[in-house]
Amino acid sequence: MVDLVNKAKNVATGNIYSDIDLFFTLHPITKDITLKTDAEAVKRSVRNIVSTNFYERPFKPNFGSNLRSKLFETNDSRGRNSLIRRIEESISILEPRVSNLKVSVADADENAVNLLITYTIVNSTRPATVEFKVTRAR
Amino acid sequence: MAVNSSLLNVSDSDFEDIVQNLKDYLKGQDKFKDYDFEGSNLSILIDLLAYASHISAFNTNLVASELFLDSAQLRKNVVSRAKDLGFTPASEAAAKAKIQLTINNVRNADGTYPTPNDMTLLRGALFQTVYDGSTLNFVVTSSVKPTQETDKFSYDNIDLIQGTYITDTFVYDNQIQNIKFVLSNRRVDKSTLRVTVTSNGVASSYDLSTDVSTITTTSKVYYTQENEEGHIEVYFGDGVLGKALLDGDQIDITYIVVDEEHGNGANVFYQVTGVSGYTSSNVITLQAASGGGERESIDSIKFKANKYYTSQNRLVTLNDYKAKVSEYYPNADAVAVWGGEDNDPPEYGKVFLAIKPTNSDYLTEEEKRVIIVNLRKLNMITVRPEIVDPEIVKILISTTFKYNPSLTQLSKGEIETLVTNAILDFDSTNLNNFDAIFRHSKIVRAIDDANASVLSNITNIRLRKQSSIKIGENKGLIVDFGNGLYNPHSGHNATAGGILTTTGFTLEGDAKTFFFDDDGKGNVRRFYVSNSVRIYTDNEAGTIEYSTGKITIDALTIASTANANKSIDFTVIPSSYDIVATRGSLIDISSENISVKGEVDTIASGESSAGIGYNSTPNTSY
Repeated sequence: MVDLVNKAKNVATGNIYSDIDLFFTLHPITKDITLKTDAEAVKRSVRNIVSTNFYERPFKPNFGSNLRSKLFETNDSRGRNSLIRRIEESISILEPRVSNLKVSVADADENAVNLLITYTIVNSTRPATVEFKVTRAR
Repeated sequence: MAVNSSLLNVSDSDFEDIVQNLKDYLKGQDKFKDYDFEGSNLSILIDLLAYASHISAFNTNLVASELFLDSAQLRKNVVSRAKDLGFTPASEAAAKAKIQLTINNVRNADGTYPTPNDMTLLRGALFQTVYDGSTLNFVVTSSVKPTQETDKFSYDNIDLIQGTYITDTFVYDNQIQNIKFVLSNRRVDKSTLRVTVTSNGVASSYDLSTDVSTITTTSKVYYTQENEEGHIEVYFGDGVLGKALLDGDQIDITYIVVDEEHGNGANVFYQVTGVSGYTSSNVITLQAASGGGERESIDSIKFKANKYYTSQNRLVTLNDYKAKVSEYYPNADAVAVWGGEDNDPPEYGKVFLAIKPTNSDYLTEEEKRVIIVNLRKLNMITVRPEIVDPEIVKILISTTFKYNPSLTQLSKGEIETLVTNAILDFDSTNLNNFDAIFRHSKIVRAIDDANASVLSNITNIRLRKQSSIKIGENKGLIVDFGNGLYNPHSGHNATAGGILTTTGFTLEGDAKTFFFDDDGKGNVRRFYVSNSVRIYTDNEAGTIEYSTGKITIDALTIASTANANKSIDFTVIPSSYDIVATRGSLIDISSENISVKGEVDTIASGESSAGIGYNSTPNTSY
């Protein structure tokens, strides 16, 4: 099992992050695959962490936030706080590039939860937000 | 995206190693920088790649392992690899017994007596035995015609086999290529297979093919093999190697389904199926049940298959004999083979075999006969195989251990039980084979490790061998321990009886109970005890060779023995505490003669200081 303890990461050069785009869209000019960079790359990463359940990634059973296990909790402050804590824990462990993390439940209605994740990227002052809607599939 | 491809290590196959290798590889470029963040998209791709590579590597490893006999793990593949070497694993074996049956007071309703034909005991007739609390079924293997004395019918030498007779019937269809007939039961004793083929209304019996060199186009033979599910498959010749079947031929295969519980050792049987309605019978067991066993294990197949191949269906070297005996008698727990030139005394032109069955110490005479008959078909004309009973040298253990009571909550008696169990475990693990060595230091360690509170032990041993006596015959005895005996100087312990003790016996025409001891000078003395004093009647009743461990008793006529089984136990002190099994001998710790004594270690427990009052155990105590 991989060790998911937060470790200081050494990134090769500069402060620019660059990641592949999983939609694999084509760059109109270079005809190469497009990249996600900087804030957008971190945003994708946060989204990946929140939307992944335990045991989804091979050999990394505790990767993700495992929100599925929280979707049948009662919609009270205790249930919501538990959801928030789970997301905060997973992002702070798995994504070292974000700080000042704050997760709030913007809206919880009609069997869905709207999550608002606010953070700043390390070495940057500009806040970024990710909105996330979690709903039961059935 | 220029990267140094030499950074990519391709030899690892574990998931984490592959992931790390890919990350190391990506360090060589600067286009995708997020490869080291667990949440990144790139990380998902890396994980997927690593997963696919890992599964691929695992499958390759699995397939490659299963291709070879040494590394295959699945039974079906081990069996298949062994088949390449011409080796067929042994099936389950049913226990067999031999009985004698007498039915008395047999008379028809009209007052006449039935004929022996009317009273034939049919194959499949049921007998039962209660063994280890279970009722086990035995059936008659072939019909037996009785001898008649008016109203008394006697059946001699009835062979019984444990289990149930089953017949599977198949029809041959030549539209099906390479047809094989799978027996409907998995626990089949292959040696009991009876195959009958009915072709155009004529039934013929088919035999198992054992030697392909003797098979012609018309040989009525069948072949067997174990299929992937572990069931036995029967198939027939192709018209070249054995007679081919015709479309519509009916095949009847009868066999014994082996019970889960083997009745080895059962010796009391009673009749269940009547003979023409008569069950009032007297059953005498001629031979207790033996030979029941499970099918050959994977380890055993791996061990025997290449040896079988090396022996090439002929008996020349000692290993050939070992391989063949394992085939003819799968129930063998251990086999020792030595040439007559190595025997003591040498007997040229012979090969000696000692076989220890799995569930008993000795083979029955019938089992020996069957093995010899089979071996003679393959051995050289000038060499005669002879099966001897393994000689068992019992090791008598006496141990005194010191323990610290503050390190355990167990009582002295409980620790003594643990030590006894440790000795018995040592015996079953290390000594149940020919060529075994009893290593004294290992058992000392096993005793120390029996419990954390055991601090040390002094363990002394003696050797004991039992010699069978022919009552009333004027015969000598030879008892060979195969290990040197303790004799530090000539005349050692002569006044107290040397190092030899025996159980008692009486001589023809003399009611006194005699024993043997030695004088430390190589002579065995015979004596009786009067008022606790040894009265020697023969100071040269035999010889004892301390260097070889051989005791020879001159001819004498023994009238009775103290042992109920007409034997004398010879007990000696060995010169070395490491004991080796030579030729056909087995060494075994005598469980009924283990003496274990625990003593509190007074220094460890604080009872004595500076070693004063500490009681050491002498290494000569027994």
